Amino acid sequence: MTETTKPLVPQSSSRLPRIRLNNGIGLLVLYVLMVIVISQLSPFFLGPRNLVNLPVSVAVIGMIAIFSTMLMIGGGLDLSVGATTALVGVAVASSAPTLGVWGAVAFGLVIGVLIGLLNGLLVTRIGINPLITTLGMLSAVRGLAYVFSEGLSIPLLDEGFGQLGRGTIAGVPTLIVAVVIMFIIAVILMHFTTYGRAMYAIGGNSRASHLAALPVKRYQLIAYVLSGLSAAIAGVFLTSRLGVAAPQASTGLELKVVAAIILGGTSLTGGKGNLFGTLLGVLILGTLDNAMTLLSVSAYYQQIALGVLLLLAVGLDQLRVGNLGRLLRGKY
Amino acid sequence: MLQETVAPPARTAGLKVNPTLVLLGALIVMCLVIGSRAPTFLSMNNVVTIASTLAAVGISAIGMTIVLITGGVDLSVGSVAALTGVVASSLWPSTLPIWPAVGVALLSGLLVGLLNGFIITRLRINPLITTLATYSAVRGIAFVVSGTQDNQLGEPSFQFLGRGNIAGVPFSLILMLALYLIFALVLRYTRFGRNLFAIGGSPDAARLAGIHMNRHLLIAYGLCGLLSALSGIVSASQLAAGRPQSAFGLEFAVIAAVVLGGTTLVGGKGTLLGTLIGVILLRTLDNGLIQLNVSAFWQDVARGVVLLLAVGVDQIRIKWEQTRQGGGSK
Amino acid sequence: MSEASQNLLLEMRNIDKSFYGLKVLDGVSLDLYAGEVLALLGENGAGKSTLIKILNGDYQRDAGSILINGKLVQISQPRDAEALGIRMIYQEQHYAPELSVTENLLMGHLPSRGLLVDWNAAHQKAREQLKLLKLNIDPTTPMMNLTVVERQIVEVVKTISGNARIIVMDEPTAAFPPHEVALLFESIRALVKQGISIIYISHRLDEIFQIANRATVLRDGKLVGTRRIADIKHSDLVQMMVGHEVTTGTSEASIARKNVDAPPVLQVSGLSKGSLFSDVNLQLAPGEIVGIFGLLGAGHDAIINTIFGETRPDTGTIAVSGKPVSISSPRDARRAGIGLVPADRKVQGLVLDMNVRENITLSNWRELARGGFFQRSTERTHAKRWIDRLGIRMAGGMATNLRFLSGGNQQKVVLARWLEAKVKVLLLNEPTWGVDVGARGDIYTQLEELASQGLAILLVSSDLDEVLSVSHRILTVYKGKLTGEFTRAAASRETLLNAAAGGTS
Repeated sequence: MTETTKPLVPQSSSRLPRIRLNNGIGLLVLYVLMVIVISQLSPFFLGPRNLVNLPVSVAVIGMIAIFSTMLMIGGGLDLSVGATTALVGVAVASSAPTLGVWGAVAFGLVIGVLIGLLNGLLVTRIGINPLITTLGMLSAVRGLAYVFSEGLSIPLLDEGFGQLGRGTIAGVPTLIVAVVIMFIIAVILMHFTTYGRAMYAIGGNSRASHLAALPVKRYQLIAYVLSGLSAAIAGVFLTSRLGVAAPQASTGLELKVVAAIILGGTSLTGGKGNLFGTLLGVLILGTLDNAMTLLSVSAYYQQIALGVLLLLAVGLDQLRVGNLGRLLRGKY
Repeated sequence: MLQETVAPPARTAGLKVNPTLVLLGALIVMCLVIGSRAPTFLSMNNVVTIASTLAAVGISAIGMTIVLITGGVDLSVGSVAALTGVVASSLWPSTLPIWPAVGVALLSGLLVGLLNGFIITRLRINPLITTLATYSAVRGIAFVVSGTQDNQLGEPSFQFLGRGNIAGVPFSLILMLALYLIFALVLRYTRFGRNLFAIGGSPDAARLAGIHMNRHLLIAYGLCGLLSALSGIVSASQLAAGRPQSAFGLEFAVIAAVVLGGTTLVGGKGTLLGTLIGVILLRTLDNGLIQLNVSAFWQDVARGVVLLLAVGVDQIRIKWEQTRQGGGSK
Repeated sequence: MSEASQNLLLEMRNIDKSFYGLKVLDGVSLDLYAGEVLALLGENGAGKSTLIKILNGDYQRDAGSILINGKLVQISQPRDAEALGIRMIYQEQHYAPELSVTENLLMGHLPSRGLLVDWNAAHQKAREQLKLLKLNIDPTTPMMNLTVVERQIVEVVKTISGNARIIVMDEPTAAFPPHEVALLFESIRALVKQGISIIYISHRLDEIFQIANRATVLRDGKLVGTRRIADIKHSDLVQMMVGHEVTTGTSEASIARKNVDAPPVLQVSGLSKGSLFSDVNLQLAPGEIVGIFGLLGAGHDAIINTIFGETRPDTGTIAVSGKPVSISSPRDARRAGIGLVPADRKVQGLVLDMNVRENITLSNWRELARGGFFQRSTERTHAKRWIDRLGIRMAGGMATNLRFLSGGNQQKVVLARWLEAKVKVLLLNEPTWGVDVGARGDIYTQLEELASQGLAILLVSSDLDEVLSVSHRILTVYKGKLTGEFTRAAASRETLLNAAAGGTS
């Protein structure tokens, strides 16, 4: 489907240094409006505790969204990230007694890399549609998470390990620091290195990139590996923060990740996208979740909101391009 | 014969195997292998058990096949199935008697399908994104509607749907097979059905031929919603409850079965017979694993692996044939 | 077939058409009788496709009139043309590959009995339609299992439904494997017997002599004349197409050839690929520009695509600077010092979402990025060098997005990319396709300068003027085989066209 491209809504976005006015500013304005409205509805929203809680809650999604954005820019798609996060958490927690905490972490990261590698090979070498590939992997990996944990949550209470998810560095939660570092790395990668440039080229026109002698398949493979790795890192941090690894963790995470990325203006077909947009997308989604929790709105409304928001974002893009009226009348 | 699109043998000198037969063969082999390790697997009792679980996935798979043939996808089937059960259980017995409640529930599924279709055809939003959004939103609605009720659906006549037998054969199976037959006929023998294949095979050619694209797609997605709703009703009947958390992961099971059965994501090609075998194969696999005392958790793993293997092997075969054909072909 | 007894079906009288002040058709007249095959000939740019588009309703004529059966008609949109019985057969076919011939033919209109499709009737109807065109295939066959030829005929069958009276075929055999036109011709003869007329556009003179009754030749937007095929020879047609005037737009730069005795930088021997081309041998010396001229479908483009590693040859060897190289991908080709400027730059050559600088440097990262990091300033310097050298013009500096450049400048960007990648051999596929006349000369000048500095250039073109303007040496290709080699001095438009059209007379 993504390679067998479906007619797609043209997404607008751009790259450093100019964030194109329409989408970037629009999102920013939306976000500011959100913040204002929510702060009116809930006095806790801008309180100190929440200001720490909020970024932390989006950190996990953010970690994954960052590298998934890179993958999507290059024309790929990875729906197995949630499952990978869970599996790695389970792997780390269950192997910690044998390998020691940090050995277990290394083990977990390796697993993430392997999953990404497998995804990448299936897509680039065998040529299976990324949607099917990562859906299949989602099932298999999630299943493995349940198998290895036997359906139970596995605690991992280790002081040092706990610092990852619950500690601070110079007053800033380690989690946030980690996300920021990953973000910076990704930005550098995408905007300053040959790899990033190649991903934009490959996503923009993979045929021309191939004819320009770029290693299209190899670079796409790397993107899948990075995606798996980021999911693994997220899994490690999540387990550290919660002190326990659950096989059902992060169910539905991939949906949020994809939604955040698309909200942020990255196109599903590739070639266009912006990490800053993703950042905004993640913040918007996360803030929405956070606000709903504060306002004691059922989590289920959040799901509804997510769906509606996604449609609005994409639909508004159509509107901006001026199509909406014409479309509603049934002409194309 | 339920083979809706002409299976290409002839001309291309390659592996002249009918993919459906391969699938059937795989199913038989699998049954034999499992049966040899776990004798109860092949017992009549177990066969009936398997047969009764088919409809919950199988009916929705009909709808998914239709949508895939047009070149689209519908990720919201699970959420729709859940919503349907919830709606029915909310309306009964407080507001409506059982069958009208079921009717309204089915209607809700149809509406979601039509909404999907509308968004895809009129707002021109990618089906993946559209149904991803409804997947989330509808699930949320299901939970909200369910609220704090008990979701009970223990009405006796209703239970017959999912748990009843006719001469030992589960009613749900009969219903499912009847639907397969009907829709296979529709796909094979009606203009509407053939137009769906045309739309998926070449949207340009279809448009040039004067086929009304939007109308067909709207109906296709509507049908998918309706059939998924029916799957949800059967499920709810079997559980005697309409729970908002049911049918989690249905979309994957359905897509896996459909793709396994030979329908492609690209569109223009599809077979309900293949889907049916795919559904049977995957359900049998699930059951077989249980019979082998393999942890239920392996089911998901197995399902994923089977899907990837099947699609992967098919891809390799296609690539292999392409390189054999050499240059010059367009 | 005497014309006196026939109806004059179509008359196009004194058609004029200009685009932005440039006159593309000047008083062109064409007449077509019922039940005949009229060949429409002319080189690229002669005006054939414009004339047809006017007939078809895609364009509006500026002056002149169109008559059908003696009555004046207005064709302002394709639907009008269709209503008049005018049909076009394009090369790009739309069909559902998995569905049968019947379903593709009768798409949307399958015969039904009540609610159900009547398959027997459907297949029968399809069979009849196919038989009308002498095509003997089983209509239940999926379209994708047919050969290219058969599919083309099915396309014809599809098109003649309704009251088709005039069918325009634009290079119908271009994608056919050599020697397989017989089937199509039988279908055409069957059509003609029913009184349908065909306007047959093709460069393949031998085919035209087989199938056409008369031929109308255009040159530079003017009508040269119409002759009966029975009355003329191959060479007459060629002469009509080519004429003896000097055409504007060609570069007049002298073709001095340096390094005549230097060892070849590119050697290709015995290259073959399926039915596309066979036994291709050529050599390229540094500083030499060799043009390969062929008409549409000759296979000449496949040759350089294979040299560049896009497809793997069945047999044959390639050597660069004396060393044999194995090229199975564009990356191998680049490593060997070969670059390719592809034919369709928007689809194959450029990343339109990126800007000029990025596109230029796309293939030479090793030099411009240390340790994977771009040295922006170096990048800019390098890009600027080529922008100046080649005279690339863009509205906003090198940060301009590629979409906003003209065709000619876009082409220069692709050129710059390979120069930046320091290739020794540059392959070009239709170098000035989609580039306006003014910018063409510019590109030719650039190519000559690059050659004079040692770059070896192999270009492939179906534009006669182009090939004659730039090449030191010219090879002709017809149906996958090299049919001639000429030095610039010895080549003329006639000899080239003759060799490329398969003629010997």
